[in-house]
Amino acid sequence: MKAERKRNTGQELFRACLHNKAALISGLIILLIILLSTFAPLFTHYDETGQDLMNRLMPPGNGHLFGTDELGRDVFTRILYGTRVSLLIALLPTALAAALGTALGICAASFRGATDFIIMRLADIMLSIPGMLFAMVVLYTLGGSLASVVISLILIEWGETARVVRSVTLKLRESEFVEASVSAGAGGLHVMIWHILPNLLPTIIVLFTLNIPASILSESALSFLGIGIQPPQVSLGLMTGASRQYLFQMPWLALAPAGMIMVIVLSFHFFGDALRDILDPGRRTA
Amino acid sequence: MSEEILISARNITKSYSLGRKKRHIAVNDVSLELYKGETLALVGESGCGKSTLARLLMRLIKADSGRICFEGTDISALSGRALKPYRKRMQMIFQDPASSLDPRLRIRDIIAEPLRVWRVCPDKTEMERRILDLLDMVELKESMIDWYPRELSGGQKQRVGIARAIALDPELIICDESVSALDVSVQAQILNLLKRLKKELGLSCLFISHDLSVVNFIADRVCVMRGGVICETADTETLYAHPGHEYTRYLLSSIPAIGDDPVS
Amino acid sequence: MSDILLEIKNLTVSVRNGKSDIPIVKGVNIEIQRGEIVGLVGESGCGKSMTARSVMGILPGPARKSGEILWHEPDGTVTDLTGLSEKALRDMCGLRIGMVFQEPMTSLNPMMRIGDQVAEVLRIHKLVRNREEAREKVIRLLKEVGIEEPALRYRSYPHELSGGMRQRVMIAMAMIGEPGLLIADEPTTALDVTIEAQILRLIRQMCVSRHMSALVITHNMGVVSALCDRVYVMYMGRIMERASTGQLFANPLHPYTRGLLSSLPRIGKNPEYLTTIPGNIPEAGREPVGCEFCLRCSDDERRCFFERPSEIETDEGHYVSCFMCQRV
Repeated sequence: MKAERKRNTGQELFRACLHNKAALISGLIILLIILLSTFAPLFTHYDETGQDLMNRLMPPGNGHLFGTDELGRDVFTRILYGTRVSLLIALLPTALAAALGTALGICAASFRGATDFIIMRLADIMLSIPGMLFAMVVLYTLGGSLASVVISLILIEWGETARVVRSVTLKLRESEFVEASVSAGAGGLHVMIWHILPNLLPTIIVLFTLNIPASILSESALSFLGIGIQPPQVSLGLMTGASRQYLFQMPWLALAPAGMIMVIVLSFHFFGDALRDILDPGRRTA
Repeated sequence: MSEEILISARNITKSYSLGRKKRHIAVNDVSLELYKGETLALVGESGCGKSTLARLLMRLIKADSGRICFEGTDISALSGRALKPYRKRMQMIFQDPASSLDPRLRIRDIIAEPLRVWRVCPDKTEMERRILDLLDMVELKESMIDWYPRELSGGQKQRVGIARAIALDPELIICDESVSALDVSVQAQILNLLKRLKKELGLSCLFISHDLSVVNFIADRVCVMRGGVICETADTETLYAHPGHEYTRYLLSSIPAIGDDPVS
Repeated sequence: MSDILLEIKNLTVSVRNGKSDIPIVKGVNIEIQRGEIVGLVGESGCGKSMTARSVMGILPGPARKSGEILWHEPDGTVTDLTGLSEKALRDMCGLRIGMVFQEPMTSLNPMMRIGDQVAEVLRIHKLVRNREEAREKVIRLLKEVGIEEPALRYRSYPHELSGGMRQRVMIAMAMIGEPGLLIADEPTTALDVTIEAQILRLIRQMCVSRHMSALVITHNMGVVSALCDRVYVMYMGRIMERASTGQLFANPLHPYTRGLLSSLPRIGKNPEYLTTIPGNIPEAGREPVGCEFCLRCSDDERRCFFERPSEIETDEGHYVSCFMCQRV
């Protein structure tokens, strides 16, 4: 009993994930995907750019799990390497956007007045422009590359986080435990670190996990259109796009990377959903 | 009870804007004083401005006009750093025990917060001892120190709130409807606890309530408020025996009598 | 008088929590006579609201109930409400039983004019021929529940009214089908004392003038004393004591009732400290095997921990479930 009470929030969260079926399964799949792509060379003896023009457009089998593409490259190998890019896109811009959005949201809620007005109108503007359109403009300006995809995704995603964080912060600042802290003589920074941030955390985590699939899909779509990641770099969206002309003759070329996108997106989506259930204080009991 | 004034308000007014040109006057030109060692009750119906008045006295919100003096010093104009020493001397116990405790902190950290802010206990063991002392004072088990608020019942949460309020040895405690959300049997326990602590620690107390029977039990003097103004101030005994203001009589007559109580 | 209107027999309600069923209401028996106002008093979590909701068939999702809820018509026919189909129960609820909730703001539809809300029952059950007749009826009733300028107020929205006015509208809504029984769940808890007194008077008046019965759920002994003819005291899902209001306040028998009454601060009695009931209400599902109250009881004996006392009549109409009272 005593030992159980000593657990910190992180350990509690971990235990709760083990007990929640959806969280456990999707978490395991995510872990598997991360391991597969990180240690890709261990799982394949092909090279992701190694061409083999003698064996172009082979059907699955014969040492090629998902066959080969129009330049004779092993599709399975390319998916593993493409997943690396997709995961990078999944985590990096989403994390940066979450950090930026949180910081701006807290600033808006804390300073109110002009700061609030400027930040929130900026967020409104970002939210009112269709994300894909905006990303296309950025990519045409900066040129297609991994870095510019990351930048455009951060710009698309921070607004929503800032909005939500601001409203939750405003509510928290009105709560009696913050009032109690202020009447004990605590300053703004103390309240922020001890009360606001810990109570914001569940919201931020949930927003973060739900933004991950959105990022992956955006990257895939941009690369599919040919303005995201540029060859010879590999990405799942790029592979799907490149093989669309063979869609009816050799469907595996497009279906394999598209299926991988689906698996990644769904796992993160279910994981985010499960986290939201776990972190909802209403459902947590002693 | 001494004749020395601990805190006083002189002609304070607070109004809120209700959109275009309309203002709601929450507290209208109110003066009152609280003597050292007494329990003064603010009574009135919802929206009468009693909670606003308490928050004005604590300087959690700023008055539009008027002065607030703490032991003769005008604190109504102070802000930020200059106000901090006074914060230590006045503490508040809130209405809803559930929402006044941060759900993500352990009881230990909730009670330690004012101690940390004021760096009262320099080392860990001393802090721990102080927290255990406080738990003991509010009649909670020492083992609860590592619990979370959600593991406590309403009455126990309110006890934690009281422990936090007395952690810094304040001179003035402001109870804002501190027992209204509690069940009858728990309410009686908390009322007894407040009365005992007040006596043992020599506290002064501003007790805000809508419940005239509770006020009758705990207060030495009573202020009856209505629509942002004080309509009657009197000793508790005098007020209940010979209510002077018509509104006080109306309030008293509205309390449903229990069994064959002498009222109404 | 044995003109029974509603009889709750051996009602048990349990809520599923994980793998186990936690009983919230345990074999409760309540009788309501025609024209009688019955109080059900207890602290939060004692199951008083669940009991009332069982009658209306509006228990929350995971709750299960068993037992009988018998409705006696004046002509002698008896219906068991628990055996009714959903539709039949709905008909029953609008017309024979009306309900008033605690929070008048959340139980009124904020987007609907109050007149239309009150008229809703008339329309659902087709009690009126046309709109004009409905309007007339609603305005007459609004006037009866003490709303000034009812014709004007008919067109108001809930947010334009004060808390007390909203509760009057709620009462009008419950009364429009001319029910035989009014169930009021903490009808005055959200209101100020002065308004509370007015609403209590109104409920009393309505019951007398229409020969209607009422079941009033409350935690407030003052409300019981001002309003009720008979009282049931409930603790942890069980009826501990029942008596007429006069008997209960003059001669409370059960240690819980006595504890509750002595923990109330009262005007005119100024003790240094209040006599309290020690301890906390145990968590549902973790109560003792024997008498639910034994852990907090001041005069318990060994068998209270293992045996549950059955109800005995100590005086005419005064029943109590306690071993200690049997000896008297």
